[in-house]
Amino acid sequence: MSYFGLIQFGILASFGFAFLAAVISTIAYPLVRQRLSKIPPAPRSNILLLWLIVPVLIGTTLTTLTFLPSFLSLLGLSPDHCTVHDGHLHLCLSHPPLPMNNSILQACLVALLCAGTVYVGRHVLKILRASKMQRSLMMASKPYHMQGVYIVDWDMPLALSVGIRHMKVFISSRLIQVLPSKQLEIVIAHEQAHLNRNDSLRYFIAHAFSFVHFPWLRNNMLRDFDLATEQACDEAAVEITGNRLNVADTILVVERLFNIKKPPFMAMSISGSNISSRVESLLVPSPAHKPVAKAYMVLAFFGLLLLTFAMMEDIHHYTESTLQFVVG
Amino acid sequence: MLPIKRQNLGELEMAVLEHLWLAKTGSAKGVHQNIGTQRGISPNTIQSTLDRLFKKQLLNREKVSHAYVYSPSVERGELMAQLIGDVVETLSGGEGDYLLSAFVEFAARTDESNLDRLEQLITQRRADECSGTQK
Repeated sequence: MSYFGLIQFGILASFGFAFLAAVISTIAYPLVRQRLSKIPPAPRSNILLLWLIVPVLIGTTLTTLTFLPSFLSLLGLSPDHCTVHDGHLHLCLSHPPLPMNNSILQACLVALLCAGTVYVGRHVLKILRASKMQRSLMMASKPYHMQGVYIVDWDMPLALSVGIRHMKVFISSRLIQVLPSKQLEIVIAHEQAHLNRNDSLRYFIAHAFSFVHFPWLRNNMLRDFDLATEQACDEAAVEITGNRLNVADTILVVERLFNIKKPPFMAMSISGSNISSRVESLLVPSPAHKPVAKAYMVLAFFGLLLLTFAMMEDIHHYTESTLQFVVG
Repeated sequence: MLPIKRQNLGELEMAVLEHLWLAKTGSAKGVHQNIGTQRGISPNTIQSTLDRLFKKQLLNREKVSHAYVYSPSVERGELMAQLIGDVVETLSGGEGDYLLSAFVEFAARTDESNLDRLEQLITQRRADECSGTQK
């Protein structure tokens, strides 16, 4: 018994579902983008993160669901459903289908699989590079009097957080020299918010698993996600330091310092900066947001689970029919 | 002097360098006594670390009787500047810098006129808040 055909059809179904989710996102996102921008930054960045990976999530979840009926019957938890098939393609773990013989489709599948693997692999390499950079910065720095904060002896107004599992905040000696202590406190509070929110991991997930979206939509969503994340950290700095205008002021001061001291070899773009949006959002009060109660979320989760099980057989059969139509 | 190559240094290599920057020179035996013993590392490990650093052109060595005496070939400041330079180079590249969250973006700048406009908005807002408090 060979599972090669089953794997082929499973991958094809995953890409099909993911592509469908990407198409729906392309239509839906421009319609809701304006409304999304009115949500406070922290929940907005959560929504955007989820939306960025929705095609991959839907692809894997629905494909798993497609195989669930035969998996349950294999375990003896449900009756064998093989008899109800009327000659079309059969996605079954007990009686796996023969491999597809359409060479063009096979080549497309291999190309898609390779592209996906290379894409995620590139981002995994970036993690390794980031951890190497964190090591370099650790070597070139000395601890500041705050936990997880290090001073780098550097003549640039540097403030950044680096790392995936153990993020660290690095502040340049130049920034410490020129910023008043109140503003330095704001910069550190912002960077520590990245640590507390595990933003490096969230950035990695958002970038590595959003490849199914159409490029222009993906770029827009990533830009919005980046802005929401920075704004969430600005809000965290406001909570700690207590004044929205001081945070806005600090962003401008550091930006001006950077404009003065930028290294000559750095190729910088003027248009890509999110400074204006960050400062302008700090000039108005944070939008009111009523968080969803945990009880409702648990209820919604179980409701979704129930719906999933109720639709399991239908998803299974519709997938089989669609695959039959595609492979001929 | 030769330019410093792009270095990838481990923790032990860095500790050995730190020791030699302080002590100026040292043999494998001496470095082991100062660093290896407290870390529970064998003299062979220290010897191979010194060899690696020599091959990376970060140490000079001179044979004195039967043993090599090592000394740093780069200043601490030079190496640190290079390590930081690697980070800046990555940041300035734009692509792949999302794993380093900077307080202000590295590869994107806001022009001065826009900064002036934002500053005016902040001043205006502060004035509004002050007049609101006084009323």
